[in-house]
Amino acid sequence: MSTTTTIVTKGDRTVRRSTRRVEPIYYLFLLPSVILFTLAITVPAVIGITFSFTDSIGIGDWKFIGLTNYVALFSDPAILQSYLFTFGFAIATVIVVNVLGFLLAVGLTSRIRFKTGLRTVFVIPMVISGIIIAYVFNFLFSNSLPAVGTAFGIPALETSLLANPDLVWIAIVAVTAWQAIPGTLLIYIAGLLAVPGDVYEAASLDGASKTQQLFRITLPLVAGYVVINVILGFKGFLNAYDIIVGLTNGGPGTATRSIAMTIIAGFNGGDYAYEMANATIFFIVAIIISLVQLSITRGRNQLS
Amino acid sequence: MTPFYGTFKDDWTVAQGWYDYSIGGSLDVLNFFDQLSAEGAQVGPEASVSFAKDFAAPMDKMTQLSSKYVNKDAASRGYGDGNLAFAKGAAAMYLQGPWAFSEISKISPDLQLGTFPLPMTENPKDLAVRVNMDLAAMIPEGSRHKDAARDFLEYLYQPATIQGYNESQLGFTPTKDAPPPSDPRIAGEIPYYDDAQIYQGPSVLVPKTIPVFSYAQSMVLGAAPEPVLRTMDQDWARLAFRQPAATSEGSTK
Repeated sequence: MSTTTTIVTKGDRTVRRSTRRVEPIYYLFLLPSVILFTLAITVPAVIGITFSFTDSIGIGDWKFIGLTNYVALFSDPAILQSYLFTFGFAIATVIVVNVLGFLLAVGLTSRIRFKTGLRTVFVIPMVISGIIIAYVFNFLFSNSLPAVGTAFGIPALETSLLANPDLVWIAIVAVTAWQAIPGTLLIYIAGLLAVPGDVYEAASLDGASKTQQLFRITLPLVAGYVVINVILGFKGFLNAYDIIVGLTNGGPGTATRSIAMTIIAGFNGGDYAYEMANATIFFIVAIIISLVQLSITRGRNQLS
Repeated sequence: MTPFYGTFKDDWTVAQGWYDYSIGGSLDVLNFFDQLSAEGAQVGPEASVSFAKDFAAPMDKMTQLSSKYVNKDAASRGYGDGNLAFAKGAAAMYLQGPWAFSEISKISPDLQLGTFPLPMTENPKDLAVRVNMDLAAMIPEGSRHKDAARDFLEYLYQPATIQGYNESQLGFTPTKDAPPPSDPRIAGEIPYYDDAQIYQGPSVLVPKTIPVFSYAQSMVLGAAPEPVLRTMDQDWARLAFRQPAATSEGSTK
């Protein structure tokens, strides 16, 4: 394996050297996305970061106040709580989504009846808008589950999960996972189909059980897909917004306010500059996470 | 019979009802917020006024009512559920404003209902009703069509227009000599309104960036009022540290 990698790298270098003079047409191809990215992402980001050093409420006069917003930010327990909640939620959801997505993919790629039909059923949540899913589950948690709990005498279900500040996160993780599993599932199915059948044949000849095959062969061979799913999922879950708005709107109390929700609440509530400071911090945190993830994946690629 | 129908799932119903009525019936709301603005970033245990000091007693009374005298499923009921249940006679009282009448009458058009200010002290003279100005008209200074805008506002403020609108919305018309709403369901509020025994809701006097609706909701759902009110003091002080506060006299800026 290692020899192949070296050859590829050498080949890569020669290719790069020979095409030092890039065709000008490539720059033309780049232009539209560079312009769009600059106008839609870079310029607003720079404006936003600038405003984080002011006392602007979103309209009217403003003046520069230095680092005041940042000083206030770091002593704000509500902000800290939103970070703790969002990260806890993202980690829990990534685990749930990947474990269930992987197991479902293993099931749906094995020799079972109605495989295509089942795959279609499992992928349906992906095509429904998050806010609709959230409102439907809101009704189920508030009305249907308590009704079931009362009918069968299960005290734990009689009160709505969404009204319990200590357990409400379970509901949010469950609903987010319900929506996110199909995407993860599809990537895992693609990964499992790419594993050649002869390795299983060889393993069973050597007397490996199904469980051993799953952990010793399948899992290592789709490890790259696990990394992709974990990174994409974690990034998406950090921006949690629509499902929480539809399920709890940050409640009960302030138990489920995500970072994105506090930032948007600041816009609506005349706290523009302060929440811009919050958004700047979130931006920096996101960059740090991306760098860490990048170095992990790069390390992995070199191993294989 | 359930005394009160609670719709605690929708935090605004807690804030405009339970929270605002309890506090507005107990203390001088505007005066409190003027003093609070004067304290600014100093609001806390040492300040002369604070949420923790002045709101503790009304919040204790509120949580007594909200914990014992509401429907069992109040925590998972929202505004729509509440209107439906109240229209079907599920409770004797409902802490809502006149806007709920139109929803309730869709289900039970003949239900006999009235309004009253929530008593919070032993003194009948302390009774007051919550008044909010939900609509305000203004012409921006930078407007290029001020005359046209003025003509339009003059039309809106003609007695027939403004009184007709407010009558249809069960609201009080804020112009002088305007008659009170004729709907009998509002009659219980008229004497207090005429005597200026009114207050603005304390939940709308807090800058929106402080999640007071959420705090009010957490208290009726069982959180102890004391730490919640202390958090509100800290939020107020932190906001004053970075933003000048508004008072009833106008901006201090």
